[in-house]
Amino acid sequence: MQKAVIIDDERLARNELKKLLLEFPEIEVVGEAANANEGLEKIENLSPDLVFLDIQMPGKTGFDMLLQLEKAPHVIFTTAYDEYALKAFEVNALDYLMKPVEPKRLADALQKLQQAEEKELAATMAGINRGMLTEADQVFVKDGERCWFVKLGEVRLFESVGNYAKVFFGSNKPLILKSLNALEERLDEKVFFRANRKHIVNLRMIEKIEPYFNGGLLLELHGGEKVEVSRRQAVKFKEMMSL
Amino acid sequence: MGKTSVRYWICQVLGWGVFGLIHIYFNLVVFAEMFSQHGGQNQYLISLGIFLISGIVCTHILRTIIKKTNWLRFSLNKIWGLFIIGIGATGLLLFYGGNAIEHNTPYSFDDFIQKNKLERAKKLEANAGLDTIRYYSTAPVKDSLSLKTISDIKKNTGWHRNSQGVWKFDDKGDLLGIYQNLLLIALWFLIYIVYHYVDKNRNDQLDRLKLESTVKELELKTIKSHINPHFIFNSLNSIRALVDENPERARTAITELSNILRSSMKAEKSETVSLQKELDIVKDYLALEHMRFEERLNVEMDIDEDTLSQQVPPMMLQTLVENSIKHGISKLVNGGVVRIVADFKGDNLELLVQNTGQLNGNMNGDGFGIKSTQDRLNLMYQGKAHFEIKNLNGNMVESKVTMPVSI
Repeated sequence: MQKAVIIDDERLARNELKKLLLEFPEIEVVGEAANANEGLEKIENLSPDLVFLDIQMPGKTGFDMLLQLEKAPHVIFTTAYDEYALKAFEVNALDYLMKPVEPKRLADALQKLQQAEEKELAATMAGINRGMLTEADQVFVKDGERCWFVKLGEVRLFESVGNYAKVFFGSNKPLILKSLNALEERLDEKVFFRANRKHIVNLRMIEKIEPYFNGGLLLELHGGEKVEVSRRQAVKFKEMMSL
Repeated sequence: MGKTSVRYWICQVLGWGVFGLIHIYFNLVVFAEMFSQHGGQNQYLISLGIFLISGIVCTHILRTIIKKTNWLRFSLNKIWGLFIIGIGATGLLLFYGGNAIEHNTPYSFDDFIQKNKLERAKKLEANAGLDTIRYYSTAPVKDSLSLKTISDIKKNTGWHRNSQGVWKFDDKGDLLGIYQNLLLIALWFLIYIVYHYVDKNRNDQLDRLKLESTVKELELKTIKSHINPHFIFNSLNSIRALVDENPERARTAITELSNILRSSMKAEKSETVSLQKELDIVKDYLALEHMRFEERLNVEMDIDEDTLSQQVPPMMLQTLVENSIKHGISKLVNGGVVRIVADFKGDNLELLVQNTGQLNGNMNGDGFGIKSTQDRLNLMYQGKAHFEIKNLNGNMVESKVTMPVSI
């Protein structure tokens, strides 16, 4: 059984989707929200497995709402017709449904989700869930017109840029509105290591380790980025790696 | 110097240059023996140069006058008159001006030729043995042979002695020269005018094509902006939800949506519709939006009964109302009011659409339909209708259309 939340500013649209979802007993609609702020609340309180999200809503758009989430749930976007959003969906291969929703398309989207879920299961089980973000968790990031759901396991490096953090994954490095300290608190320390004041590295993405000045270390990541480990942290790093 | 100016000077120099070359060719090659005399060639070239420069100066003066008084705006008949006057004046200016310059320099080729001819006349006279006889005074020699020789000399060289025995030059060249100059200027003028007429025609055609394409684009834009697909699909989605919840409402909603679709298709065919008809569509539209937004959308109408028969552009009020919802109500979590007012203000019909919300800076996007509404009004009422959109005090936005009362 999967918990779902529907976020749409139109009551009738929510009702219609609920009615369609009756056909899928494995999905249980545990909550609905009429705008982004209500949506955030519902997601935090109910921690759903799946969110049906409208893009055009009063106040904040669906995209804006996702950017505020620390950990993005699985999202299926719903929209009537929005050229801008459609472009974003197609470019970024996000799951979306066009209103009025075709039952067949809904079934396909849910099945796709099922498959992704199974793949993740192993990873989620490995990290015992203590409110920590695991490698299988995803964040929503947006860079101009482009947006992604990024699995934390795919992130090589977080770099502090003022109040923002630059997220390095694949060939992209968009910014997210989160401080490095806040990230460090929530990230699994077995995987993500605070190398210095400005960087958090993914330990699984290290290519090379070299000694550096002053008893520090220099890490080279798979993407070619070089990160210095301060002397104090180098001690901790060596401890961790020798375990 | 502009592009046209550069082109003009290139044409000037090229045209006169070609003329000069042809002149040189005929004089140097065909009449080679004329230049056998010492210094003849230089004298000729310099005098030709003076003539060419005078030609350029004179035609440039003509062109300045043509441009300043903009001859191209005249009809073809007038142009012909101006053509003759222009050629006459410029031709004479060129001839007398050019000659005046030449005669005041030591380089006059005419003077040089005259001198040569005088020498030839004297030689011919001597050859005939007449130079020793004072044939010109009391004409003691009256035999036909001598008379023929004298007239031959005059015919060949243009020189003859008067009754005092002074050599006189009978100048027939003047008239010929004027004639040639006139012809030259006429040719110049013809090229100039023909070029500009062709150019102007082509530009006119280009302008017309451009205008046509903007009109087409405008039409397309207005038709497109009539109904927003987002609205259609959202309405259909709501209707589908209503089929179970409130079948009666679903039925009327389908009728309302059909009305809107139908009138948007008809809008391109008719120039104007009565305000009554337009308001019917707006009401259907608002009923559908109310179905979507429910308590978030409140509608107020304040319509003067007498305005209902007024003619308005189809789907224009509808576009404004749609915008007030798209950019106003739908952005507000708690929704707001849309207020429609129609009233007479002096000689004008005034349509107001007010909605809760505030204009933000980036309202120049085409999504607002501001430009297309403005363009439509300009096209239909030639500047007698006005459209504006502004923030009212508090948190209201007002779109206002003022158009002349139709009788």
